[in-house]
Amino acid sequence: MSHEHHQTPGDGSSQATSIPGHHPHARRPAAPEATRRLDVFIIDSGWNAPISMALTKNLSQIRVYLEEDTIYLVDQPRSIALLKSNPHLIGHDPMILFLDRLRKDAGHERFGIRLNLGLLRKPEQALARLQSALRIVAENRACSDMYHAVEKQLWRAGLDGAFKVIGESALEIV
Amino acid sequence: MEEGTGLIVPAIVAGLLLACLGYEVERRRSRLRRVFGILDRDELKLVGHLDAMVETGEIQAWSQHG
Repeated sequence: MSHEHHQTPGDGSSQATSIPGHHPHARRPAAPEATRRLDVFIIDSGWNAPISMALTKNLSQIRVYLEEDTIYLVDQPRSIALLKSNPHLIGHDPMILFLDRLRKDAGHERFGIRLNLGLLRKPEQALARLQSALRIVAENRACSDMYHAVEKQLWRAGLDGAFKVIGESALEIV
Repeated sequence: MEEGTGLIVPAIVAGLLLACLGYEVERRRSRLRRVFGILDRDELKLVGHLDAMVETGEIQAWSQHG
């Protein structure tokens, strides 16, 4: 990939990413406080290879849509360590955490979205969910509670599901 | 009486269809709910670990432009 960079020993960036071809760099210049709202963490222990590959291929897209935010790629050993200390999340990765700093610091009950791509089997499904998450973030960045949008999305998905089921049943009957 | 019996079967079928539909909708919704989790107090431990990693410089912000 064109944006591939290599870490040099002793340059202070001790992180190696679990996603091949992507390496971390020193903290980029801070965006204006008004727009810097999310910290995005990508956690991947690497055992759901098809989904990891799909995610890797689209990292630059994620970067583009989240350019106002700070993205952290957690490397494989650290991802494994995180999952070991949070065992209920084993098998959920690759995971993308959209941590809403403003809400967390303000002590709100809900302060982000956790996208558990590892629960999906097909890369296309993972990309569709990823796109949904990016859409929700982009559309609701200015909202104080973007998690309401997630609930709405789930409700809509349920309705879509209902229509699909009706459609499929109708086709089966015909 | 016959008229009543004639209505029972379609009503049962319709009820079953509705139940199946409701089940399927709920199944899809709960699956989506598992994929789209909300970060709340239950996730404070995980977030705490991530914050600690950022604080200590174990992980650093990524930018494709460097």
